Amino acid sequence: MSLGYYDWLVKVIVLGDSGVGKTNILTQFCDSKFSQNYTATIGVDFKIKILNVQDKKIKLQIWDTAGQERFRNITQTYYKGAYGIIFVYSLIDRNSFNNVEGWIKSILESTTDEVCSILVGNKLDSQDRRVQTAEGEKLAQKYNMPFIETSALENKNIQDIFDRLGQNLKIRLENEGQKVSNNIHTQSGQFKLNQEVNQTEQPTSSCNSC
Amino acid sequence: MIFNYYSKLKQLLQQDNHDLDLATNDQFIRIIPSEKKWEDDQWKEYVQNVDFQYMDRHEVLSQLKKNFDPSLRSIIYPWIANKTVPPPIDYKLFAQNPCAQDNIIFRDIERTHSHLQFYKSKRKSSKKHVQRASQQLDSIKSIIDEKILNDFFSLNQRRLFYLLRAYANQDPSIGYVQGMNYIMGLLLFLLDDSNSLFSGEMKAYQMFLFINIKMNWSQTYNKSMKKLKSMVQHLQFLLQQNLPDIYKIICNLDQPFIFFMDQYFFGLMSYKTPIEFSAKILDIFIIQGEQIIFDVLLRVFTLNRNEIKQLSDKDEQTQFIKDILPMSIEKFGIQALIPNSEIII
Repeated sequence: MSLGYYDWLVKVIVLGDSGVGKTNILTQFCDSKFSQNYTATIGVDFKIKILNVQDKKIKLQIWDTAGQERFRNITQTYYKGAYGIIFVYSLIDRNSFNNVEGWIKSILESTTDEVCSILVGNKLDSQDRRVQTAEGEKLAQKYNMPFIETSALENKNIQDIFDRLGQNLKIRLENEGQKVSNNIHTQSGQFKLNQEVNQTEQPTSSCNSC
Repeated sequence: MIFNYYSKLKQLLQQDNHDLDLATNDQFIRIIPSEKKWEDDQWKEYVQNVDFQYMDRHEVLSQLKKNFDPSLRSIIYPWIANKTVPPPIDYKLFAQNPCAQDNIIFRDIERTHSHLQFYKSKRKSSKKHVQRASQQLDSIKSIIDEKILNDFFSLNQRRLFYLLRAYANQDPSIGYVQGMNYIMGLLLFLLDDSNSLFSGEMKAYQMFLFINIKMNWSQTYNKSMKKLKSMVQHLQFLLQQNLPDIYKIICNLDQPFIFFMDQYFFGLMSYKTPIEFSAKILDIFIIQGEQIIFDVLLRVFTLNRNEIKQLSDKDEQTQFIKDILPMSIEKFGIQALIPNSEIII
């Protein structure tokens, strides 16, 4: 079941309160479906998906975490090495929006690596909105990250989450690759993250919140 | 004195026409459990006449592993729980009072064993209904009372809600933690009594208290998660001792070991597994404790040993190991994963 060639391998974590739709977003993105017999995630689930960004292929290792506060003790150990973070709240659950800053702070406390992140307001299909678009935009601006509203149920803007995250990841990875390439050039002459030549590596360098 | 005791026991057992095999040497007497399956009446007789604390653990465990009438659980489980957990006389009080995690429990009810007819939602599963349910669910800000529960949930979903809320109130230092919903949901499903709904609930609740308090399982869910971490560490040790090649592969994946294993402990192997499998695990767990989790996982890794070694890509290995239990159930069948077991399908 190899997913074949890719240029970069990136670990992405999905964070947010319980029930905001993290698993449904991932199921739509990875398996193109919305499961109506769904389950509450415990611990952490794991998915892999190749994302095409222009001429590059980014292999995403996506970690779908449980949202309940009690699991933070262990989910924080998963933050290490993450290069992309998707913060999710529900547009019809005010508390989940209020708690986003807590999730952002937990990342800031747990990792010294800077990451590419995106803020997602899910359940756009609902009529009873409790968080306005402007509020989401303001919060995203505060932390210098892109913002998007989605519906996992109707598969609205789901691909866009990953496309926008992918764009930013690509820019960062190319910059980092360039830096590393410049360094390595003097020694071995080439730097390429490529499964085929068995040199796939997790990016370890920093990037500002995209 | 000791010699006399064993001599007498040996004599009695040899006279006994039950299906016990006896092996002895100078120091030990080893009773090998019968290969014969108990009939329903034998189970009933045993439960009536033998005190749980004096039971022959090996024999009972061996019988629980065999195929037996599922309705017997409603006498076997209370037999196990009754002596050690007092009847939950405050249950109604705990179930009626709101708890700190009401909203999380409420949200999880529809996401618990939702594939079972027993827990089928009140609503039709059309997109429109899911949408409306989702909206209403997030909008609830008031106290969750009977009316709200009636509006949202089917009868068994409401019963599950009350059970989880009662435990969260009874043990507020632990409260409700996701994973408990799968265990409690399984207990209610297995111990349900259609003639007396309350009796089924009581049995499920008492057994849940037995597991969490008497067997100390609640410590898996406490804030430090010390018990969880120590169980995962033990499993890691077992792998290192028994399957060093697989252990090495897992270590090379650069993921914390707990990442692969935590779900099996939080949900007592009832998360993403078929009900026949999780029920059999539960049967054994209530006698044997977490040993059954270690046994099954070691077996699963042993059965998949060659395949894991053949995977060259780290991500493939990670994905494979992460999904190893549900995948193995599908691939090898339930019986192959639980030593000496018979499974009702």
